[in-house]
Amino acid sequence: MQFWQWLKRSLDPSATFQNQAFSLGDRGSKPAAEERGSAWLKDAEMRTERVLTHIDSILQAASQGTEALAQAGDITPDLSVNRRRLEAMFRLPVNKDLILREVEIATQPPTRAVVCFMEGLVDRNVINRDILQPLMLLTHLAEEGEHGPTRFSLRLVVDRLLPGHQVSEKQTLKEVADSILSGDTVLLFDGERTAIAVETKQPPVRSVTEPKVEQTIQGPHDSFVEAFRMNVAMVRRRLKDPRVVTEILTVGQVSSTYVAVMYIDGVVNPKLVAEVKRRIQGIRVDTVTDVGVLAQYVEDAPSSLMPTSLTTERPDRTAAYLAEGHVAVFVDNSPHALIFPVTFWSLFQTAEDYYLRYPFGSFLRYTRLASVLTSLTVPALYIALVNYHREMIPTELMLFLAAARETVPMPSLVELLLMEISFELIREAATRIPNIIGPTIGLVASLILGQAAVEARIVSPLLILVVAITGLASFALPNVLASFAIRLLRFALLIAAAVLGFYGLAAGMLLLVVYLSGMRSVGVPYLAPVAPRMEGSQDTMMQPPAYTMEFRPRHVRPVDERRQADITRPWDPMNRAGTERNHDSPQEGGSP
Amino acid sequence: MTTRGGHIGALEGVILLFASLAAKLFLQYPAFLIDVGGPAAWQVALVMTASALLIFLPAAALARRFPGLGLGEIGQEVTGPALGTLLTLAVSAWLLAAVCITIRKVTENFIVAMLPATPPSMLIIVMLICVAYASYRGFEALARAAQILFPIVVTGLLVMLIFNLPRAEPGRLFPFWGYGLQQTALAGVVYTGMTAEAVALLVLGASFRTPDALRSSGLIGVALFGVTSAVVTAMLAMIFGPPDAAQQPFPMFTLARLVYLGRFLQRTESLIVMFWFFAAAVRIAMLFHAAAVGIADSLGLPAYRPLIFPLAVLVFSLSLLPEDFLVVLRLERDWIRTTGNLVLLIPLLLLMIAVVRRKGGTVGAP
Repeated sequence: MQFWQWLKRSLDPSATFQNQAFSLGDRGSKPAAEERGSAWLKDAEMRTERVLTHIDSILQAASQGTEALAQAGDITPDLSVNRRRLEAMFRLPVNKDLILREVEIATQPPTRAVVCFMEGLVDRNVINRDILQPLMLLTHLAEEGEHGPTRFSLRLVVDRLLPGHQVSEKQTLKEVADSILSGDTVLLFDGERTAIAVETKQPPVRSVTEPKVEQTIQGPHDSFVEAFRMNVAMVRRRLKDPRVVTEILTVGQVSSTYVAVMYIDGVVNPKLVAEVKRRIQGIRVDTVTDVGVLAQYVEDAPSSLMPTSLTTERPDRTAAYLAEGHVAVFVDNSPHALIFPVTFWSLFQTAEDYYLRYPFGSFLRYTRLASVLTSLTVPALYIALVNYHREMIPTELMLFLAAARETVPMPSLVELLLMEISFELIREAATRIPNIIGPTIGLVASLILGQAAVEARIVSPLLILVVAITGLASFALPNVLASFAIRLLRFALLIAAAVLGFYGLAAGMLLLVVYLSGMRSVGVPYLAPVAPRMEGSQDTMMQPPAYTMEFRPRHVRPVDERRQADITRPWDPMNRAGTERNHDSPQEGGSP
Repeated sequence: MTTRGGHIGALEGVILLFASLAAKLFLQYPAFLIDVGGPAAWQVALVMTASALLIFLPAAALARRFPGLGLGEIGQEVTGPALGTLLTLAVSAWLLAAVCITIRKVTENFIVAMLPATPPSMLIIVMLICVAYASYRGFEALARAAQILFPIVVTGLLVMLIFNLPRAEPGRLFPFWGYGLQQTALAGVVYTGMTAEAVALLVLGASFRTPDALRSSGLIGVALFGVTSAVVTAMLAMIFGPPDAAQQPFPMFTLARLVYLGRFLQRTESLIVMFWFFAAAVRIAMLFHAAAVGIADSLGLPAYRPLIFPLAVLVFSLSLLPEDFLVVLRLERDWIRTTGNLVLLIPLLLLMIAVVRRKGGTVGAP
């Protein structure tokens, strides 16, 4: 027997192995049903305990009036019970992030307390200097003179012992957990049904840097960071108006992400704010990690290629949109703001347009429009011309084209698709390659590929030109999402033109225009204020001079439509006659 | 009440009506006018415009009497469920017939102009996809798309007229009174049916923000079209001479071929014709949408969208029925244009019945 075992093992070692390979479960088997059951049971036990405590405290408070009733929570006077429940909630001792520090407050008699905070999210200096030190060492400073030694009371702690700038009282363990998770330090006291949370947040954030995508030559060079509070502050710095409101909502059952909705009360249409908030509050999701994710839950047309909200990393641009009556949405941990509503035309605009004089701004915008049209239609036009409408090509050029294409065996569509896909490949690879060598690789790849493709007679030389112009033009659009859309749509138009020439191209363009015409962003027509035409600011492709934009854009239906006085340059002799005739004060009608 | 897909204002209405009427300028319409009017064809266009404006007034008055209602609902309100439904169905049928004829003519035009080897069914299918999609997106989206495409269409038209200006000879417009004032006036009145598409606005009356928007759309749209068609017919007569222009199957296409921008850019007619596609698609989409909404309204359907696909299939089959282009032209001359006059009279008829039976509001009653 031994021998046979030995022989079997030597011939096929795997035949004797137990099935030891790790697996998370076979197809069809429920994931770890037993573990799930026990975890659920533990959770249910703890919840029941907390509910019972809550009922207890409600019964106790019932006789003490409505205020006490409102403050009744599930924190017990027994510190050890509270500590045990917190430990269970945060999966201690397995979890090493939550720190529970038990201290004695130097009152007469000494009172036990637990200091709870999340490692890494808090400022340890503040905890040491402003929480532990006064409570443990400096209670004598709060001695009440001839009334004898200091006796413990919650009021004493809040009013005299904790020099924190934001201190709040918490009645339930859920509130306590939320505070801890957001970076506060919570104090639980023996014999007290109320916990105290002290603001000690210092999450790991990077400092403000230059914008990555929306760079400008002229204008501010700061951009948003991952901490939404800093982002909100950057915008607020630019809008010193007490009516600027930041509402904070929480989204995500697991991530509990802070989502800030910012607007100027008295300027913005309240219906717009209500709708944006309604959409955000309606989200049922476990995590929201970025504005890009949030946008997909709240946008009107999340499957559309063109974006129906505007993503920006510039505080100045956000402030300008807020001042026009838009709503900005920040998501904690995301270095971008979402602007609602957005129109098609704002995808062509940058912050810099306004910092330059209006002719330059308009010129740049039309350049961008031309680049979008180039990027969309040039490959399709080339295919249509070469395949269907050769008579349009000047004779000499056509002869040259024919000569160049003579050696290329592929049909022009295959040729073009090959080059377009290679170009997309280079672009994608260049994005993934580490920063320093990325552009070089991209350049080298495109140069060598193009040259080699022509020499290998896979493509004709003119086609390289077409692809290069198309590729270059697709970079000119300042909005990243829109330029993705253009990149994809150009393939659709290319196929349409390959099938039916100019007819197909026209049909494709028409479908695109009809599609855009029917789109809305939070109820605002996507092509407004051009189609439908609306009064007010006509700041679309042609940028009006800053001093003539008296009204806010009408399509966002602002409550306060007037942005500036009719005569904004009252010192100008050209305006003087008008000022005297129409306006006693240049500020007349302006917003407060 | 049928869901019609949004509301539009006067400007959008004007552009929509103008674009859908002006699309005819790229087809045989100017040749017809020159055929009956000779050198005074532009006067025929003006007389036609005047009579079309007059005959649109009852439609506008009807819209004011029944604000927020389309022809389907107005018809039922005024004449009762049976006759009202029949009248609206008749208008919708006329609109659909106009769609079929236009789509076939446009297709023939494109085959001649740029795609000689493509079967017409292919072009019709592609056009119908565009039209059905536009109708599906709703009247609002269609009107806005028309507004965005309008400058392109107008540019296409202006390019042709301006670049052919050197060929124009004003002497060809003489004798000034053409075949005589009487003939001109008569032709103008008979040709009023050319603007019968304006009745589509009344069918879509519920989609206008106010009855005044509908009235302005109709009147300004027709007036603009009248002036434009006068200019175009005058230009064609001046460039080709009345006898030649009347014989052209696609006078504007021939005009487009004559455009010479320089040695580097020759034979641009394909590009210009591409711009016409937009005008043609807007026209067909508007008439198609009006027909769908008209049918839905008159039959009391809650939504027009389920009708889009069956109607598109119907239009596809009907538009392929005429065996050749000449049959299409004859059908248009003998049926569409003559019945167009009758279609324009339906609002007048309804208004008279409404006044007699004291239906609707008193505002705007004549």
